[in-house]
Amino acid sequence: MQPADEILIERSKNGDMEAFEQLVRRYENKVYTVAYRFLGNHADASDLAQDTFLRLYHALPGFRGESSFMTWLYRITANACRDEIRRQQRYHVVSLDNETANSGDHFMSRVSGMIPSPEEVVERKEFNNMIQQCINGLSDEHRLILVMREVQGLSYEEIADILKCSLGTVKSRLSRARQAFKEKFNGQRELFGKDSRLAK
Amino acid sequence: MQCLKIEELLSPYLDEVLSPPVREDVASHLAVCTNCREKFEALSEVVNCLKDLPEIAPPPEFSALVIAKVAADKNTGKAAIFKNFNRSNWARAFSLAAAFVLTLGVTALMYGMPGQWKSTPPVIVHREGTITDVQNDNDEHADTSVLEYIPLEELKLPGDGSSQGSSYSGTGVTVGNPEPASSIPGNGIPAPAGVPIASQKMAQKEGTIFQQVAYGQVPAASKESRNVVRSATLALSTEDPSVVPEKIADLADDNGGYLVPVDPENGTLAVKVPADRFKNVLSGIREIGDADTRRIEGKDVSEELYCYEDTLRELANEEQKLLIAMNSAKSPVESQAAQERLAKVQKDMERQKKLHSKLLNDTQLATIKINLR
Repeated sequence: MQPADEILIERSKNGDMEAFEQLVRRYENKVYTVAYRFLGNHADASDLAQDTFLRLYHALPGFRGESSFMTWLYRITANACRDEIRRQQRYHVVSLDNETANSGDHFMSRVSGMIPSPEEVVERKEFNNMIQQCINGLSDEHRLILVMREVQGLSYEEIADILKCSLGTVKSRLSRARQAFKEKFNGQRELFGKDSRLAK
Repeated sequence: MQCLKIEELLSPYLDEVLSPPVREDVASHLAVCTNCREKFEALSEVVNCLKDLPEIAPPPEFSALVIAKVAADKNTGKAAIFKNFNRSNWARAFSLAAAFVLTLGVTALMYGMPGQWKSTPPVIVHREGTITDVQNDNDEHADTSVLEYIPLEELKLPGDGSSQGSSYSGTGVTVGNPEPASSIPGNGIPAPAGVPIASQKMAQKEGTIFQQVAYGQVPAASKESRNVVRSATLALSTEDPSVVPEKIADLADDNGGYLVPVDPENGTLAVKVPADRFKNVLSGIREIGDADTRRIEGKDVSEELYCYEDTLRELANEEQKLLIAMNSAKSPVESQAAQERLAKVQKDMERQKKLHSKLLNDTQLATIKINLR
């Protein structure tokens, strides 16, 4: 039987790296998915997810169990994403992978086509890639709030707290972000192929 | 309510965060307005698409990378003490060291160095009482330290001399009467005359244990040259990107490296090549197509490597003490306690070795990331 989060957290607080590694393995998919959805490529997502767990390690002594561990970890992840935007803005970082992802539609389709796998699996994969490209094409602000809400499932209050803005701002920003995503999605859906079952 | 106003409220309505009266207004509007209802359904659809996106698993080595990062961060914390040393601090430290050396030099000139006039300089092995106490309560030397003189050349064991010196200080046992022996069986090292055989055995045992655990699987980092992790990122445009992975794999192979499939679906490749072939491979990649170098980086990780090695040395010392304590424990409780501590120390050592080995490996293999366009 796997030890409970609380036990692993306590042991990690006391410097037990094995317990911390177990905690990482337990939540790595969640954190990595958020990082990937936010940044759109594996190399940067891996860096951001690692950074998130490093933050978690430093923050563990301050965790008192007032909220669930998952919620708390998601807040750390969202903060890491927010700080990543600030860092990129400060240094004008241009993500090479994003450029590739945005401009490499044809290449991506070709590569996906080369993988010998059932048609439906490939189609679903391409469809998900298309959605990811739509997310990548949004502004930092919209991408962040969309990932926080749709991928992480954070409440409006939690988003307002992390972004340090009012509930009204969250409502309007999320509404605009969804609208922007919808426009990109509709545009891409036409390119994706009218005969695709998933695009309908 | 007008359609324009309703449209703004569709998103919070979907999330059920509107106040009850506003929510009712929107609901009643949607019941009668086909246009707004279609927009709401379209919005629900795209939001569901986002929510339905699958979870993505990181690479298998992800958790190990996180642990490595945490450990490196801890070590950097230790090294920060030195990094924070500013110029005046260093100047002060240097002056102090210079003054000490000068004083030592003058003293040596006036009085000579200790043992200067002897043909064989002795090494004092300070044998503390802790383990002796465990061994024999009735020992008349139990509460006292015993000094023994062992000629320097006779104390030498195979391996790194400098590390042995540190491993011997402060550890050891009080020994019984000397036994006549010409050599120690099984190791081929001649027994020094005048040194008790039990002492030699213990010294060799300790030395062997120390070398195996600290250095058995872990080559030390180079102290003469810097240990640099090299990496580069290129954007590569070619007419036919589908043939590029194979070309790059061949290039890496020719240079003793290999291709790492980072994210081929999004056109990202990476190669690991021996550090000394880094420039050659970069040039080779540039010949494949129109390459735009985005980043070339060299990160000096010498301090981190030395930190790992220091930690390993400390752990090896502790392990050797625990092994002796465990063998000479006078009660099962003591033995159990030592055993538990030993298991933890050994686990820590394994982890440190892995991290050290990975970092050292990184210095030997440079990474080149290629984004295909």
